[in-house]
Amino acid sequence: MTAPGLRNDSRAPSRRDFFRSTLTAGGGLVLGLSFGERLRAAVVRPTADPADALPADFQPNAFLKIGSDGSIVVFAKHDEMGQGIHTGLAIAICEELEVDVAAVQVVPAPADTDYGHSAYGIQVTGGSTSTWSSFEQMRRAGAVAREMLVAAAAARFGVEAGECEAVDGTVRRRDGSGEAVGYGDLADAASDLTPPEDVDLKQPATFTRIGKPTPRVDSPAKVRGSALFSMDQRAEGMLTAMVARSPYFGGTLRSSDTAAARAVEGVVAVVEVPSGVAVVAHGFWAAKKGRDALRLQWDAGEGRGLDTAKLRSEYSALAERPGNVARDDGDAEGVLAASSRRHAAVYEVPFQAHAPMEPLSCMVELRDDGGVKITTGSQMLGSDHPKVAERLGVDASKVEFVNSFLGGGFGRRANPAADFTLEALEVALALRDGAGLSTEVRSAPVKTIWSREDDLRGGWYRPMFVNAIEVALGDGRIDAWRHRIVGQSIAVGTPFEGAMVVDGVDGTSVEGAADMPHGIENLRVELHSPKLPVPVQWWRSVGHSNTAFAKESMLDECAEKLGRDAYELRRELLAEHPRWRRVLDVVADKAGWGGPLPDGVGRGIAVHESFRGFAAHVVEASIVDSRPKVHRVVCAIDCGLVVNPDQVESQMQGAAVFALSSAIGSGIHFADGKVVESNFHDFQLVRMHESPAVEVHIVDSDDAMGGIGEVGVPGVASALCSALVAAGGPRIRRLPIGDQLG
Amino acid sequence: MQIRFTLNGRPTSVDATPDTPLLWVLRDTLGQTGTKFGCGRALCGACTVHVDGAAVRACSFPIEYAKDKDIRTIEGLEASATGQAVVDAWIELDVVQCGWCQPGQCMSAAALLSADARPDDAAIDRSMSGNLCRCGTYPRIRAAVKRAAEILAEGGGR
Repeated sequence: MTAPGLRNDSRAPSRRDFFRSTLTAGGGLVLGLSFGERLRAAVVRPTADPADALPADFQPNAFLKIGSDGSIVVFAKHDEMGQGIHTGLAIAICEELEVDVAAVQVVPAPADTDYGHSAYGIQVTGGSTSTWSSFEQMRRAGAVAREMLVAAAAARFGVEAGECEAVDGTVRRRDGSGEAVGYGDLADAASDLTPPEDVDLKQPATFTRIGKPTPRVDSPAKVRGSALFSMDQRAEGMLTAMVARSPYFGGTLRSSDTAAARAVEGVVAVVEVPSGVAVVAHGFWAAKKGRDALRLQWDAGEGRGLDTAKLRSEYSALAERPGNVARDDGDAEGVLAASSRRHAAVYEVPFQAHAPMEPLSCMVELRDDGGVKITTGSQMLGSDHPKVAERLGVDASKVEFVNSFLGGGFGRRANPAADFTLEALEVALALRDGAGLSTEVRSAPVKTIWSREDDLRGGWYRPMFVNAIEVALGDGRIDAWRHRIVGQSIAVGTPFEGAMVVDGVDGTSVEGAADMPHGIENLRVELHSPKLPVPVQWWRSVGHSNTAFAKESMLDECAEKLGRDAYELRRELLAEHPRWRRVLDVVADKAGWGGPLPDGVGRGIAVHESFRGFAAHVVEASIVDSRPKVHRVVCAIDCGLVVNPDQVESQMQGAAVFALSSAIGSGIHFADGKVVESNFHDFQLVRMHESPAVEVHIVDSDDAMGGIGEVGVPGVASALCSALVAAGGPRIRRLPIGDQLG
Repeated sequence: MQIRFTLNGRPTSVDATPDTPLLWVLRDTLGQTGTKFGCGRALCGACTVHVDGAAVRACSFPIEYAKDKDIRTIEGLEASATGQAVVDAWIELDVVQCGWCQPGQCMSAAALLSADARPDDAAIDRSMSGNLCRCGTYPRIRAAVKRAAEILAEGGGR
């Protein structure tokens, strides 16, 4: 008897064809899956002689490998930077594979088109998209493997597949005989099967893993210090490089005196690279001492005179003029002009650095065939990979990437210009071509490391924004709303410009403003995108980190002017939007909105949609010694079906603290063309003694799956600022709050 | 110069320039990368280790001062009941997100618990405020310190 799915037809579709066709068709996924050459090699038997053959591993697709020793490896297409996605992807696979999450090993995927983002195409982790965009693909990957293992077991038992079931890493007969065989013992036979044309996914009611709190797969190694991050990666003979970069964005090197640097013990080379001067040494300390000893003169170039006070004034002036129109409902201008009850305010946010706790690093090993091995911590191998191949003038197949755990990302490690990757490559190339260097040095693996100062002063910030909002108030309502946004585009000049900029409007600059659903009949949103030499990019929650602060702050100001309750006004404006309203109601209820508070403590409330997720916050705060003191944050989130509730809670807790840091103490500012801040003494993040309790309430939801990681950031700042007003403080319209309460 | 010290209970000797921070001796010379680099100026605590039992920022601790000292890092934390309890509590509560700061958090927590077996919130604030976490895991760190204290009160870790 032949079990279903077991074929000897040589013309049967290969696994490669199968995944290209079914995964593309299934669930609206758009990527064309090929089967990576590197991975396909794993199913080839190690010896041609069947008598001597070791059992083959079973690798039904690019995401999963089951060893004949029973080991199960999940290849994670999304990068683990703290958001728990390695665990989330594993849960989705394990649910269908019928194996415990604790029984699998999750490793970062290499750079390969197999791991392209299901919505974006290229291999990238960002936009709070990983869970919803890969959920069905991972389930399908697990289900295909399960079906093939069941088919292999059925053949072994000599029964129909329907008489077998997969349970806890084994396939057993349903006849009560207790006969069962482990996945490892089935791997060899399963690897000979043709994947099924279609697979049934489990019904949500039968989920035993999805939706249950699941321990993170990476916790033990991270706690014990054995998890390998980019900076922890080592290679035989490795050298360490640090690059002295221009203190001015757009600046160029005028002259250099490197003699003292070369004299530092441990320094082996000083080489020029496009971004500056690299000191290459045995270890970090020698590299840093060598770099400190460089004497460099820079021409400031375009960045000369950059000054935050001046920028604020220029941006504010721009905000008084009409910009490119992002939304235009009704007649906002006309209603404003005719209104006798107008209110206007300007809200400002500074440049923000991502400041991941692990500073950037990237190790480069040039190969004799013109290719390279790059060991890094990247959110966007899909950009890094082709850019490295292009720089080297080789086919992408000659460029190998090894990704690591990311010691925080927040967007910084998804750089459209591949900045830190290409710079590290330039260092290795300059070293290889360096005059008077030994063969050993020229061929050594070289890891370029950034210091904290390099990180904070290295650009690629969330842009600075100025928002001017003017409203016309009617009888208990908002009759017109005009929001002008001024800030650099993060898309212009990148490969994503075509997709992200429409009619002169960068969608990420106006997201959260141009799509506000509050039912205001006369609504106009405009954008100015000035150009500056400061490199900017996405920062956790992107445009929403600005627009939600401005929008929600103005809604609170409107409530004050109208004599309305901030919660009730929002409820009314969002009456037609149940997901907004539900998280708003939950947060108000759980926080005891309207209930008594100790003297001097105030509450603020916010609700915002971003990245397909819905979050509402209530912040309780007071003013102590002219500083904000946050007592409690209550948060409600609706992200649709939840894969791992414990990690949704964790993300929302962390997002609240992250958002408080940028609301209270951190920001990047310019004086005399240079960045003012340099390290954590003046780029001030919330610390333990300032961190409030954060309560998270996950709303039961059958609605579409959405984002999580960034969704908890946008609403926090305005809720805090309104809490401070309620606590008797001034209305803060410029972040960070800093010393404005003094 | 040659410097001798004890690392996680083992006699260790390294040849290093005297001003090299202990952090880079651990990471670059000895390949012990559990101790992390975050700021280089004792501002973030990612590099926290124990020197003769006291929490010290290894990024700002010249190796010459390590001479004859007893150094303990995250790799050796579980040798003590306190360290074991901290690691167990951290894993039980799934404190970590990105994880880069967590070895340093654990070292600070273990030093705190060695001095104060039942730390209250104020004690946790005092001892843990030198350790930054950009992911914002403080609520869970606070809970995990208390959980570790419970584990110790119940008679130690595993």
